[in-house]
Amino acid sequence: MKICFYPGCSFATSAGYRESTEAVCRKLDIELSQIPDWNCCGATVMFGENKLRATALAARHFALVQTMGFEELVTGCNACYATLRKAARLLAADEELFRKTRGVLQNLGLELDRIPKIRHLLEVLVEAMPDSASDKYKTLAVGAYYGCQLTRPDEELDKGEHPQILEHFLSRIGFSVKEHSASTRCCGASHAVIYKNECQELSTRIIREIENKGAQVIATICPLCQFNLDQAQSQNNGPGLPVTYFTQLAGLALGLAPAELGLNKLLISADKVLTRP
Amino acid sequence: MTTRNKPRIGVYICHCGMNIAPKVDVEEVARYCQTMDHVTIARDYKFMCSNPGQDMIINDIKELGLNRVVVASCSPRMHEKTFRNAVRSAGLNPYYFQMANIREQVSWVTKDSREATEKAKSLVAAAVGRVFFHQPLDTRQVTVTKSMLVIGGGIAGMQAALTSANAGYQVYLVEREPSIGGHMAKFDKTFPTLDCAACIMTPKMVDVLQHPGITLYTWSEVEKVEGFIGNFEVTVKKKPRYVDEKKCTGCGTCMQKCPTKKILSEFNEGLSYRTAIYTPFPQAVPNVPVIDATHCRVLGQNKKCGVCAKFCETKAIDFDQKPEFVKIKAGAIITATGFQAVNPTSLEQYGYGRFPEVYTSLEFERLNNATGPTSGKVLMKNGKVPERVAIIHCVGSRDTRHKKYCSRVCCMYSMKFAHLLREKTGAEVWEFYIDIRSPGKLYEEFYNRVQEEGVRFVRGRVAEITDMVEDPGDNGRLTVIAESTLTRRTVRVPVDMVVLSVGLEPARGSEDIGRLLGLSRDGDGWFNELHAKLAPLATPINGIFLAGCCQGPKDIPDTVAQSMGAAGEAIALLAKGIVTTQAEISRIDPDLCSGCKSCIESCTYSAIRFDEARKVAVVNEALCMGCGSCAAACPSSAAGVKHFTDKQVMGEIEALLM
Amino acid sequence: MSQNDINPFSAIAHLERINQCIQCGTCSGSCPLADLMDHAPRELFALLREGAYDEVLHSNTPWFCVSCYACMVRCPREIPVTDLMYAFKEVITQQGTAPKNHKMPDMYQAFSRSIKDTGKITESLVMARYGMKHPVDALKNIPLAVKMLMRGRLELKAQKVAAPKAIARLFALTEIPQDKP
Repeated sequence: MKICFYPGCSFATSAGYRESTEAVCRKLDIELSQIPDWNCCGATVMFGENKLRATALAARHFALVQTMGFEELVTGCNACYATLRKAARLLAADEELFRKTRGVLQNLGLELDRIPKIRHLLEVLVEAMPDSASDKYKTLAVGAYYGCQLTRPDEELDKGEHPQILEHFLSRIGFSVKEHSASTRCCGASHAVIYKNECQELSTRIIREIENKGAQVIATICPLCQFNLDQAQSQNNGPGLPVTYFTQLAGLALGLAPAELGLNKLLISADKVLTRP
Repeated sequence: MTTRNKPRIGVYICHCGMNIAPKVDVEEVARYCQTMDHVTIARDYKFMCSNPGQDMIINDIKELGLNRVVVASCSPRMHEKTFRNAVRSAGLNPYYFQMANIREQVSWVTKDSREATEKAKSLVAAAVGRVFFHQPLDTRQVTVTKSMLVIGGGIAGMQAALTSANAGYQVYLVEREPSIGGHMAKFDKTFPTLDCAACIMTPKMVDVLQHPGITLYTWSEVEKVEGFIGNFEVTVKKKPRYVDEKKCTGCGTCMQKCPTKKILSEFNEGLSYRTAIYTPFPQAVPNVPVIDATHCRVLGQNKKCGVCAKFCETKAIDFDQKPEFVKIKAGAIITATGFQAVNPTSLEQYGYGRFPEVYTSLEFERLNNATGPTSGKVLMKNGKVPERVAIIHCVGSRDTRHKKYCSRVCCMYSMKFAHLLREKTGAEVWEFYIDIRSPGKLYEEFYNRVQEEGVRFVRGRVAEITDMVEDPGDNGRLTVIAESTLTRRTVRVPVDMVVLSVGLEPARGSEDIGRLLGLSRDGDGWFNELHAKLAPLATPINGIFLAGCCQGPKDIPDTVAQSMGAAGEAIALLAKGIVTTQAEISRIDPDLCSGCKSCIESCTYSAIRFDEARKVAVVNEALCMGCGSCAAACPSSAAGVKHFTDKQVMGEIEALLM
Repeated sequence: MSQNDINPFSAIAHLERINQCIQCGTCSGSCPLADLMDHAPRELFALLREGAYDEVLHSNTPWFCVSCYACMVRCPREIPVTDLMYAFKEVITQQGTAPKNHKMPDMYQAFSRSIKDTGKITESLVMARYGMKHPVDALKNIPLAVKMLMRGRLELKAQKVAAPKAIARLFALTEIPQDKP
């Protein structure tokens, strides 16, 4: 399987998202065709500055995807996912915006005719991963954390308040899943980086809830969520809940070694929790 | 006046006040009509339906020798009858009249004035083209069966049945549950008087059972409806109770002895269990149990049991009972199929189904009711009395994602719950609302009273109910999160119990009833009344009336008033004794009929029979509804509907296209 | 505030949707950072409807919107709250009325400038640029930066697209007359 991949600016510097994605895709024979010369999607900033600019920044990739011959675009970051989808939605609904965006891109030597379908990396693995083949991680309790922008505002992939797609996935590939009430509570995103003290409680509340409900490790699907939950705990000097990426857990389920999956990059170490007989 | 003479057509364009003019240039339309062939006179006038308007038509018929009349105004459903009567009173057969709808179909829906005027001209020309070919017709009079069918045995149906039976008419009341009583039987105290629902209703239930004029069918459903106004023929399916109603004494031994005890009780909203043989509640009417065939060991699982039969002293248990079909003749039908509560599971932010202490209003009602799972004490599932309870308004109502309408009764029942909680438990009550709607008699006073009782009203629609707590000491409780819009702050209140004031929606199965009766429903599924303001109890189907929530959410006082009104309308129909039916019925030309019987197969009213002697199809004029299916099916154009002949319809189309 | 003031927000797509707001407060109640805002989202809409444009132009509310969309999926009138917050930010930026020395508008500027210059975001460089306006804040992040650097999670070199001029050109092509450089 070949997929057109948009990494986003945080992918490479994340705590093992890149390593684990590449390792898992290699194992599953998924070829990641990264968009050459991709730019920042604009995330939550650009639409607050200039709608046409924001749309063009995102749509530049739609044009590039077109030249690559793909119909779909996959990304692993919630903000990129939401921003690209927002641009796609606006372009489909607003003829004038489409015309103007097309004009801007043409000026840059790019043709925009079609809008690709935007998908999250989670969807790809949900389809590609085989069911669990071993009981090795049956006793490892995982709390799923989606963040906000996978199932909101669209609710196309799953329900906005209490989705189940990640829980089902983790359970299917052999982990013990602990349901909890903070799976789509906001971590504070970029505000938590700037307003550390004020937003600390947002992350702490999520971690506390996941811990209360019996999980030993958290599974995330977005670099900024992973960062916020990871570093919120690293302030405390005690042990915490390791915050992993779902691709890292998928890699473990496939029998890959933690070192291959970038698990050493977590601030709160997962070593103890992952030591299995 | 006969068609032998050349048609002399009078055309009248109505202004309808400001409804048609000036959007449509009515003078221009009238001038245009004056130029048409066979149009003797064309006038425009402000209000054709008024007395002067009608007199204008009458005078013109008499003085100008008109033998056809066209009025271009509103929908025929409004005034076709009016104008036909005017034409008749001038001595002309009323079917020499045709209406063109230039209001609902032109002025109300066309933006551009020029376009509207052109369209009006086309429609009037079409009417003129049609009326040219009209023939004189006669209506029929049919006698009305002096009995009534009421569908639904809740408070609405019971009241309609009682009012009608008290007036001396035979009433058949059909209820699909084992007992009558509907939702009201589940309530504890009712607002604003805090009457106990059972106390005020059980006398009515007994009246219904004992009234010589009411034949009660419970555990029964309407299966088929045939016939027409004044002469409905309804097939009722009596589902097998597996208990002989005539032998059962209501002693209840069977229920005590039944070994299958773990079936969730529907009456108690799934909060307690019942047995396989059961009556839904102690005051059930009739007090005869039914056997739930799915869960019964004998009927559903082919196991050996029959304990109930063993202990029944009157040998009333009958496992071989089969459904029985009863045919009822009724002159009028009153639909009182009620409502159901909105299921809040899809409002995931409220945690219904995930958190055990989140209840719907109906579940909470059962907790309060003495016959409920906790004998009327407000207790949590762990047996404790709650210390703080939140009541959430507008769950599923006033919400474009669920029901966009306001369900009308929830503010009042929410405040009733607040009152009951304060009275029974002294718990701290937080009530989260958007607006307080208390329009009825003594309703605002009730709101005032509840305020005085110290209920904490917070104006803010609840954003989320979660089991995450702020204070570790509140572990195990739920947190209600909302913006208190009046104090401009976010409140996070830890509570023991949450009551969701869910909205109302049409009862399960109302779509099927609608189809059986031919009733249309609005976008939310409530049955359509004939006119929202002026005819809220009648339906477009003559002889079928509405009572209670099936027409729209309402409280008990309004339901009872409406039921009495619907009964009144039905009684009026029965009392008159005759109905005038339409002249537009089918006619089969025996000279053209080839005897293929396609019409007979297509007739939904079974109104056509085959004459074996002449080998042709013949219409039974008493049964024909003029639907036109036979005319469409007939390959030889032998079947046609009077007043909708090919000539007339083609004449209309040709004139429209010219 | 005069009742005759022109509405600076009037060009926003779907702004008329706020006319349908029933002021229920679900948006504010769902908002994770409502307590930091001078006007909760519901209140901001009420102010806008009443013509209090100055209040809205100077409000810090849109700058605290995290784009979690919780408001949008719960609003009983399906008002696109988050999208409107974005649009408010756009107008406020163009009008130049963002709260002075407020961290978020400054962070957004640093972010945007980074994209304009290199086409991508290099977190360390964005933080550095932001630090020019908020030095204390930026410095406070140093311990964390070190931790991240040691784990290979901090890139110090600017990440660039092959032709950064193309992105700068995109910015130029999409400039609005009152755009602040």
